[in-house]
Amino acid sequence: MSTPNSANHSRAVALRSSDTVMRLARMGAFHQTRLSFMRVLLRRLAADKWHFERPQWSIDNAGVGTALYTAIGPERTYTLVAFAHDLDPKLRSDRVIAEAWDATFTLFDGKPSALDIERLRAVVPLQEAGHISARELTLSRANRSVRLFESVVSTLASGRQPRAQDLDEVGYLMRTTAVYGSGKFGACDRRFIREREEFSAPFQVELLTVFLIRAFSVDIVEHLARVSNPCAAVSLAPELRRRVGVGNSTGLGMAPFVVNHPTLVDRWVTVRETALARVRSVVQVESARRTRLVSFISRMHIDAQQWLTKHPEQAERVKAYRVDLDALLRQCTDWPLNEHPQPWNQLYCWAEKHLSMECQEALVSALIELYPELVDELSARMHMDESASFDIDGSMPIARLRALIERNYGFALDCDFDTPSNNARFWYASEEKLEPRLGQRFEEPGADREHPLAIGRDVAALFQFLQHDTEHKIVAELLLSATQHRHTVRRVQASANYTYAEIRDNLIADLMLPIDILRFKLAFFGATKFDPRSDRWTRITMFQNAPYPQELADGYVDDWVYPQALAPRP
Amino acid sequence: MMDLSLGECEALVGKAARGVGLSWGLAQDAAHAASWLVAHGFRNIDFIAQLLRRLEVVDVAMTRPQREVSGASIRWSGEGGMLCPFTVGASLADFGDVIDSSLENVLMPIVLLPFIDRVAVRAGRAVQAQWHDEVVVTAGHRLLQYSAGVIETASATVLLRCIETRPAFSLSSIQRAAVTDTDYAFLNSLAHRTYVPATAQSRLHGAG
Repeated sequence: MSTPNSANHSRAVALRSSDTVMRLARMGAFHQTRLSFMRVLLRRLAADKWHFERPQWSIDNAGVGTALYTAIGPERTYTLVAFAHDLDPKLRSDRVIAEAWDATFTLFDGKPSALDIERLRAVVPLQEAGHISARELTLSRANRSVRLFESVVSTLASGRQPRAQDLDEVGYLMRTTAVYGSGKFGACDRRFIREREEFSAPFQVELLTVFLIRAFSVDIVEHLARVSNPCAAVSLAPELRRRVGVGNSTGLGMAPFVVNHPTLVDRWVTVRETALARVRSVVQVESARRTRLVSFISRMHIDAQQWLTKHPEQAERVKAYRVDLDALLRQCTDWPLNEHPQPWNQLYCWAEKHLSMECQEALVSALIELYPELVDELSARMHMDESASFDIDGSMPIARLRALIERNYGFALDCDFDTPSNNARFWYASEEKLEPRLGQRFEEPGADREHPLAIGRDVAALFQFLQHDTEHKIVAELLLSATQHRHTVRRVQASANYTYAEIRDNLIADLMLPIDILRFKLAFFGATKFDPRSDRWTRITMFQNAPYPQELADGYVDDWVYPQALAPRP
Repeated sequence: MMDLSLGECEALVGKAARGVGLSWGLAQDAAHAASWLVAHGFRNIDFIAQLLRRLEVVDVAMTRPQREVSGASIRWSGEGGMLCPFTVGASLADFGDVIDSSLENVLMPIVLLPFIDRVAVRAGRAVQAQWHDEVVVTAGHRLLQYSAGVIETASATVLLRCIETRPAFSLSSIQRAAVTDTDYAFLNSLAHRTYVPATAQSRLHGAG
């Protein structure tokens, strides 16, 4: 029935609710978007006309030595200092607990002197066991891909090019196993560089490091090919180079970050959801835009065909994802643009009903991709001064604290933590490598040293305590004696006005999958080809198909993530 | 002597504070306080190691603060006769009292400064802390004045009051913490108490 106001269908579409978005099953289906941090980094490097040099390449015939890569911006210069090692293949391990690597790196703030390099040579190869200084911004290391590295070296040495299909399937020549920044192991604290425009978005320092490591990984392959057969060796063809990204293995270490930075996570998700809502709200859609959507989803399909994983559940998901992408493509090809006032909203609602979360979230990425003019400026809002939410408001009435919990933590209050399966695990730091781990509460020792990451359980316990507490009127009085609830009160207050601050699932449930948390964060980084190796660590690819540093100046095309065409089968 | 980033200093002190028995929430405050102190000029965190040495041998529960309001002043005392500056400091900041207060027998009173500063921020006023012959004034993110001996005092009764003052100067911001090898090893030994040793079972489940 039409009324004067109901004709106004062009109302802005609301952001999806936190109960929809902040569920592990959905977070674990996120894909990169044009707001992912890698995309933000390369757009800036290109827009600000950064240029890149390799002032030193002192690598011997065995592939051992030092190389420098310099990134020169409008105001500042950064240098990747790379140390290449001769690693016994038996010692090559992806695990963060390894102690030797094929190459180790640091990103130096400026241009290092010869003395700096000598200092770094003594500590960078030691990684966690060494200690870098305030002049260094990151510490990282990488291993060669067993599947690809040697074969590409020998192919190039014989004067031939590797098969595109092989490059696509592995996706990288080297794989980083950690990229530390933000004050870790002596590096410069983020608070002292976050005012620099180039580092204002999250993880730009770490991703600049990886972007330069990628260039190193190709350079060392070509170098080894050349020294083994100087007369016949060839360089990797430009169209093949693009297919080489940097691999990464990510484990549980990344999960606590997402839990420990609720207001920052809220910013990330708010930006992504705002971008989606803006696109869903678009009223007039040009047919050219639909053509681009079809082309983009076709390329996601190509990427999905290259997406290989042996993880049984993820393999099933990828299989279903390919089928869903076919269905989505069929819908998009002649999706009506004039029948509905907000055609993309209609398409999104169709997807919600008919597609898996993996494919729904792919559509989210594809829709956001279509409208740079509506969404790109949002990337400036993805940082957060978390110190502002540290102080506890002691004057808050207990009734208000209770009301905040009821309003924001329904997911926790609805969970019965006395049921063993809801309380089955505990987060802790391992003595072996000081890394975050997940233990079985009723089977392993150590629960007395549990880290405060069981947000739902702790909030429920606080709520329970407050239900029986008639003694205290304000938070300061409560915390004078009940110090065990202090971290939870701080969190409830800090997150109070941030819709997407909390993961709305039980982080200690028996069936919780930590890889969902990892994928959420890695998708924000811009990673692709998620390949879980268990429920708690995953391999990914970064910067695959991206331009190389030197190519950024030749007309940067932002739309690089998904491949343009399938590699021809030989 | 070790050179630490503020992030490392925070992580180390936070875990060490947890290691001596403070709650996770108070350990967060301890971590925050440590980097505040470094950034405001007290670069060498040996006094925090000294404080934690004391806390290690007393029952932390016995430092639980009690707050008594009498007339126009407030008196803080510890159940066991002494106050932990992290614990009483956190409560001080929570209450944000701007009336004259006395805190009886505070261990390493210098460590109260970040918490007093939070009171000053909230009140928008300068707060003066005084013990023995030492005087410190903080006025919300600015440490206005302190005497050389503040860092030496192992324990003292501290008097707090709001004062009228014009910010005269602010100490330069320090970006790195320093710690002796001995204190570093000691703090790490406390932090160690928060770690869980590997077992056959945990290895079986796979670490990640």
